[in-house]
Amino acid sequence: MVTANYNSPYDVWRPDYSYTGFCSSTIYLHNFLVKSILGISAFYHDSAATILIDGKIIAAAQEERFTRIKHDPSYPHNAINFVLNYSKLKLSEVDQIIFFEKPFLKFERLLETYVAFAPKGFKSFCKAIPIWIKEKLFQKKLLFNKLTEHDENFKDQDKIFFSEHHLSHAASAFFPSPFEEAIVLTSDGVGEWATTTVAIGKGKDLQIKKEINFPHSLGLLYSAFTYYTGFKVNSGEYKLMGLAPYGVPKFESIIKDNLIDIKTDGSFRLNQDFFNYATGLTMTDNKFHDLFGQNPRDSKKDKITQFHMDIASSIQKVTEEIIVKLAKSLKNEYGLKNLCLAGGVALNCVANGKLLKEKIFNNIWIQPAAGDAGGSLGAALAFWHLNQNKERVISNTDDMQGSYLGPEYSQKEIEEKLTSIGAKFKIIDEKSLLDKTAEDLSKGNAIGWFQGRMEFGPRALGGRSIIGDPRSSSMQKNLNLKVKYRESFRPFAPSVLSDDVSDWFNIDVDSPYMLVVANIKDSKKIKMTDDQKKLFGIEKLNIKKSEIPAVTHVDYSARIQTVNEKTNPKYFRLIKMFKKKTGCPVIVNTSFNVRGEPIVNTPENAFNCFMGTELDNLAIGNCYLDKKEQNSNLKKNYSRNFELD
Amino acid sequence: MSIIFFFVVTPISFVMKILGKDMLNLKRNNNNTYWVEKSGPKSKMKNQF
Repeated sequence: MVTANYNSPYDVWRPDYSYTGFCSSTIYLHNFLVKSILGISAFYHDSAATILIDGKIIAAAQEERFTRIKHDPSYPHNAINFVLNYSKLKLSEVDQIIFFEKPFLKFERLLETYVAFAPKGFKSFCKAIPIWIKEKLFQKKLLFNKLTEHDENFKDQDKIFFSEHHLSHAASAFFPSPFEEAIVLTSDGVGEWATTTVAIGKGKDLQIKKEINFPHSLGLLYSAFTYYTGFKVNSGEYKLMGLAPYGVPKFESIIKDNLIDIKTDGSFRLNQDFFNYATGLTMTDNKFHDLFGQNPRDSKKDKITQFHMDIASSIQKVTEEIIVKLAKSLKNEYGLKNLCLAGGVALNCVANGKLLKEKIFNNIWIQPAAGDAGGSLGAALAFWHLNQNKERVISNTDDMQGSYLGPEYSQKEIEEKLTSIGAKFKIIDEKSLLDKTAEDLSKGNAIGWFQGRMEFGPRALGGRSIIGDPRSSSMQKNLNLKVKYRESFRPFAPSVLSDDVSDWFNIDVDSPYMLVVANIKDSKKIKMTDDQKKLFGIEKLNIKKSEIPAVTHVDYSARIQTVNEKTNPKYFRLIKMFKKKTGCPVIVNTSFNVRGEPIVNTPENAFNCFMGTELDNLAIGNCYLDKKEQNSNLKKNYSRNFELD
Repeated sequence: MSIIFFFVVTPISFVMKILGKDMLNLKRNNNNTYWVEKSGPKSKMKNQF
């Protein structure tokens, strides 16, 4: 028997499959009028897959969450399987498959770079070219072969399309946004040629107007400094950002006088005499090191010093200056009042916060998966609107569904898995779960919170989070040293009820994806003593700065997530319960993983992290676990399992 | 690889330099912008280029 169910997300007749939590009781019949598009990003970093059905985002996930390899660049076999299974589609049933960038253009850029710099670059040429020939020149064939592994009936190479890298970013920033029209600014390391682009989005149209090309790149500049301060390129940039408030920007003029020429409109040129990334095997060269007077920090032997904090502060200030200048000049030129951002540089939430504060634009919307993973989403959306010419349906929030686009697990699956791995747990109803969790939070417990669908993008947003009491002075230190096993300078971030955010922070807009930084309100700050004001660098860490010290960074800033009842009702109700008990509508939210590991995906990942750290409790579905009740033989030591990133 | 590099890539590089071509826009300029207008026909999504 077949019945229609028009309440389903994509107006098809759908099956009853309780394991995903869908509550449909109709029987599936594939609707031939439904159009599905699979978007893929892969082969550089952060491979991912996204599926759209009739232009609506149904599922998206990063490969790293399945393979447990951070930023996994390999073909996203597991992520593709997930999005197909979630949509109940076989690959041969998908209408089009679109890859997020153009491999031939990338290869052309590589060759031209070597020509431009020759005879420099010989070593890198020998290393890179054979790999690139195989991966780039034969990418369509490579992709096709990989795709056939999902479904032996998939035979049609003509279904495979290729977007452009920055068009994918721009599409991921504009099409899900709540704006009818907007200026779209994308900025990253590099795509094919472009590193920074401006596009204008209007309705279903999106056109890139101008660009800055390799090797002149804000992302690569920031990555060069990431490398220089001893963090990993393409994954440690946010640590550089977090280190900046501990320093002063004393190297700002050295950077601007030597490394980069910034025009009034914010466009820029990098002086390649100081960088090695174009043709070398490192980011910076000896001229760069001589300029600042030190070699790059070796993270295995050298500690972070005041010098590194000042370097971080300086490059952060320069980056912010460029972004603000770009924004101002684009507003003058195009006159639109909305701005959309994507590309890896859009993850610099401190710069985003400065942008917001400048009030250049009425509204700013940032794609939560602003990096290359979001390219899979953007490529699919670009195909739907630009190639298929489909109209947009613009909502007044956005289309990202809170970015909860990944797998979820039913209560039954969770219980079965926990039982099979020897966990001891209680099963309680939701009201009791919220009450117990809030109670334990208020006692200072660190709790793993695993609910609903997994987030898409680098931030945990209450789907796969470790949560704590922000009022506790020791929470930051304890979470860093005993749970996440990471550098103690790293700040934690708050989740706050959206209705209460302006009482606690200097921000009056929603920030649902933790992409914006704002300062804590003066009324919540604790004034520093004269002695405390004299402290420098890492000594600032131990000063209690506010009523919620665990989420207040040394410069009084916080990377905020506003939690809305409609988008994540359970998480909202939890924080509301915590507010009821403590008067505080804010909790610490950090990603549910140990250092160097991707955010947890499955109940088993969650239990392993729980047992491998000093987390006190785990709230997973309607199961509640207490560390003290667990079998101590199951304890693991995760402190050294994964390399720091 | 070395043969290709030293006998193909490097000579092309010298020729380009002699002709004064600044392939990657490496030189500083005195214009008021480093933006490059995107012009020309849009690339088709069917293509890998």
